[in-house]
Amino acid sequence: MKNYDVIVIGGGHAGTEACLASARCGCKTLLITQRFETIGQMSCNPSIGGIGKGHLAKEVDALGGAMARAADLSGIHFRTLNKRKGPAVWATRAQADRELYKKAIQGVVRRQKNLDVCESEVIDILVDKKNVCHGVELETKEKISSKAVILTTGTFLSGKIFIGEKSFEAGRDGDKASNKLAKRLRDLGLPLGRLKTGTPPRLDGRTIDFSVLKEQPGDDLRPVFSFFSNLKDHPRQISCYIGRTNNQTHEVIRDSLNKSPAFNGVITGKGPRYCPSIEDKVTRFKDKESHQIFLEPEGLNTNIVYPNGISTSLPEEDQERFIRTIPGLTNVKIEKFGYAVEYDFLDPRGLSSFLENKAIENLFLAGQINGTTGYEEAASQGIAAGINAAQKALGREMWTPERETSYIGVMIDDLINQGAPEPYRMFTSRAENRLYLREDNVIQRLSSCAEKYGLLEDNKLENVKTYQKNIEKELGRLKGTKIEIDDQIISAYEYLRRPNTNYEDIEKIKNDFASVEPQEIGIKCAIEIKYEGYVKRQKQDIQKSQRDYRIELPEEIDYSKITALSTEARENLSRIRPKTLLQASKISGITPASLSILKIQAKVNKNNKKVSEKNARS
Amino acid sequence: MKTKDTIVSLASPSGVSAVSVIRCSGPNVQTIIKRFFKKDLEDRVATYIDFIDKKNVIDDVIAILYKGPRSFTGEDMLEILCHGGPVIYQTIISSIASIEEAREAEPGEFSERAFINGKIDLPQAEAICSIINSETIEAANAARKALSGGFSEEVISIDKKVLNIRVEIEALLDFPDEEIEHAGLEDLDGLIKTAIASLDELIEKTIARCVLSDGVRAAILGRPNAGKSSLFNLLLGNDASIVNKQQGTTRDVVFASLNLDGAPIFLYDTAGIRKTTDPIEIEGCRRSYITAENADLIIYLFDGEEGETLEDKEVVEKIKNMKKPILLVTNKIDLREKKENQGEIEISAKENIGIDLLKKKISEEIALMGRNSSVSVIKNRQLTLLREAKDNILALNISLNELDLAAEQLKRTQECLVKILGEEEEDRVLSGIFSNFCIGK
Repeated sequence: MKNYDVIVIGGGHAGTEACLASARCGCKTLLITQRFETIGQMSCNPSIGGIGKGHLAKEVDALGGAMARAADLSGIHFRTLNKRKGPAVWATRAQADRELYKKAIQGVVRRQKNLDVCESEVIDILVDKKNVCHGVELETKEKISSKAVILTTGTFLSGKIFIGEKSFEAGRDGDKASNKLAKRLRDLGLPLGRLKTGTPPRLDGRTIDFSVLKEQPGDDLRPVFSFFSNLKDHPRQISCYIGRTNNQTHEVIRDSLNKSPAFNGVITGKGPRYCPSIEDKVTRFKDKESHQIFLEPEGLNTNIVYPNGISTSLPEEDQERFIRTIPGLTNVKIEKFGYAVEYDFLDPRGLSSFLENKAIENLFLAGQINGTTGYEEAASQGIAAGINAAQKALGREMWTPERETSYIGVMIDDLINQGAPEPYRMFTSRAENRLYLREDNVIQRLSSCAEKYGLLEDNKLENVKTYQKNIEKELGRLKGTKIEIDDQIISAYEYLRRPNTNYEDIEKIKNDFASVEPQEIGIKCAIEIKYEGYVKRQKQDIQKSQRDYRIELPEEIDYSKITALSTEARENLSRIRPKTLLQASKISGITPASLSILKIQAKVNKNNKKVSEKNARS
Repeated sequence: MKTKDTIVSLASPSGVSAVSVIRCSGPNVQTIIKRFFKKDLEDRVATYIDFIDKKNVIDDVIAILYKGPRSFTGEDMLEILCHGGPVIYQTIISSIASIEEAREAEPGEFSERAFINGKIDLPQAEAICSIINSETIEAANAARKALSGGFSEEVISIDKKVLNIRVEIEALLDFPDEEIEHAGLEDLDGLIKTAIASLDELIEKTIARCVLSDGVRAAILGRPNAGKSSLFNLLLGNDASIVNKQQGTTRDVVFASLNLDGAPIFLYDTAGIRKTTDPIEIEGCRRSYITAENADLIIYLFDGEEGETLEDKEVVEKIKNMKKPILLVTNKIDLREKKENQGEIEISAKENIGIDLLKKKISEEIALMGRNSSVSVIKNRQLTLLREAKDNILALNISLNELDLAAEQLKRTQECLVKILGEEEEDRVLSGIFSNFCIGK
């Protein structure tokens, strides 16, 4: 029997980052995917990043992941969102050429040491009587053993596609669904839920009249995604376009609503509120006379255009009818129709903070299977699961990404404590520590973790260290630089603390001050300084609120017997069994009053123990 | 486990009494003694001594030090017996809590420390779980009632205002590509100013209520000449209010305190309510309603001689909407000709009939309110949180390039308000964004 340290099932964004991370940690890793060709495929919109998502992609990058670098090699339209607002919410977004992106990812997978790829379908996960996972079985009946398995099967589990009144079983984008595996997971007793999502039709760009649409070029000051990339890595840049629906569009949609599976009750899974179908938008916001459509080219060498904003599951003829009411699209040819997809996911509350299943040891889960949506969300879980499966296989301590230092931590913590009542997507408002979790300081936030687990190659690690030294050096220089402003002599550091000041202005105020090379270092220092006070305060607040939260909840607490708690709280506590008061505080149904009860209960149990130990001695 | 901070709270029932007992426990009791007393205290000896804060003698008190572990909590403890009454004990507690090492105790905290230090045994400790829970909830409810006049509603309304501003700002931050029809920054600035004004107003009201109210407020309402002032005087047992047969005599609200079965009560006599064009009387009616709003208990008095009028019905309807305990009382039953029942209690203030029953009913209502010693602590906590909320919102500056910082200040503001209200609905900022704006690029 073949034998690996870590097996990753699924070659999507979670699976690729997971197998790459595991291999980089030094584990002999196998990636099993239905087709190598689909590795790195962007099955929905061809873009990486955005608010919260750009942050995630950059965190993956800081941990040595492939996503951000691939976005640079394939990005054809770059923007920094929120550029006019505060730096904490600046977010990089790139429109990618699908083929170039795939090529970049597949290249990394091919080159990665310690990593094998096998084209096959997994039909079973091998779990022994002690509920320990030790390998997988392929459709060929071949069994492969491993110390850990990472499941990243996305929406493939019992996936079902809906277009109007038609429906059929399918995985992503025409691939087959993994029904056998879904059945097996159900048999293992893992709690499954059902979610839905949708995708818009794809258009033939040659039939679009761009002259009547609003052009949206990329930023002049083009951002770079990966810390390890530079502008020269970017391919040729092109524009996106913005179109608008109108009353006529809405009328057509309203007339055919009864044929939409999401509206006539055929689909029962819960869809995301932030990504409603055009049917939803028209019904829920009746007063709105027009909705935006972002027409995003799918690449440099393709005519396909992705109309972002009109995901739909109406029948094909109705899709065509409503789209053709839109100025610029009156003669458009639809290449592929939009659809809704319903799929199973595993309740992430069954996971530990390492993304390991609590019921089955050595089984890790990452990506859409955990109820999330989005490439970046998938990739960042993938990298966390990859690191942890590798640590488990190596017999080392695993990694809990913290809420306070990364969006990866925010997401995993949210998932394992609150589950996914709707497909989970990152927003900056989910982070308590938003002012610290910025794109600009991602290296400072995560480099120690990257170094600890050996995730960066030597030359990259060298780069990171030099960069951090330069930041420190510049911060020191700014402290020592005295400048005169409003008849006051203050340090440049203090100056940058003030509102509406920036690094570039120091040269203007003080003639003999030269900006550091590259100037980007100085600009990042200025941001660091600006937020320093706020970040410190946030940290103090967190520490203060965590004083009690560090209290550990003993394993033997029988929550069902604490009658002072609400039924909901008792049930949730019994199921999730939090390790600390902090974890308990995040569970639904836990009020401040119930926390004080738990606090006392923890002490009671502790004292109980002491008393019985004392009795045993005497 | 060693506790690091020192806690202080009132140990005797709140309100007016001959003596009030204040308790401190924790490692910094000696610091408190040095700070507020002119000499050291001996262990377990009652000392008659002045409590001095910033060179002012607050009260002459009896102070007793219990050195740990020979104390209720097992830590160093200080008991201060001061003259009774909210003003004195509140001043002393605030003085002590104002030093860095001390803070006001949460409900149940003394017992909790006693348990941690092994001063209470296991069965007792396990009982604490349920007690603390009920204590917390009851105290919170009681505090809300004590600060009634719609205190919760007012906090909720400010909380909503802040939430709306946050929804606007968070939508701008998290969905920059959406064409969100958000309020302009100037509009937001206006909304913030309104929120600050509401906070200011509530803080002032709360201060007024905290000072006045370590007792139940009962307001007597009724039409002119129903006998409100007669009843007021009868309950008080002296002539605090002028009783005059001419209608509309008590134009201003008159109040006095009395003690009913040991419970302190502030009794309010109000102007008679009726439809009128006289501006002075209209003002009187308005004040009567405000008094009712601020009261914990309303006593509505019918004129038994005239029977229930349309006006009575309207007023009763209105005060019932205030959602607080009401006693419906019919006066002048000695003069009543027809036997009709308007009120649940029948009295004659003039002939002193049924007054004992009324007193008993008032006592029962007070008992139902479940007041306890934690109330004033919680009230103070609420005031502190309101002030903190205001500081946070005042510190924000609405400008596009610092919108993330404004969002942070608003989040902090909201956290303070949520602490007062007890619980936050999960996910409500995002929910607010999704229900108000059509998101979905």
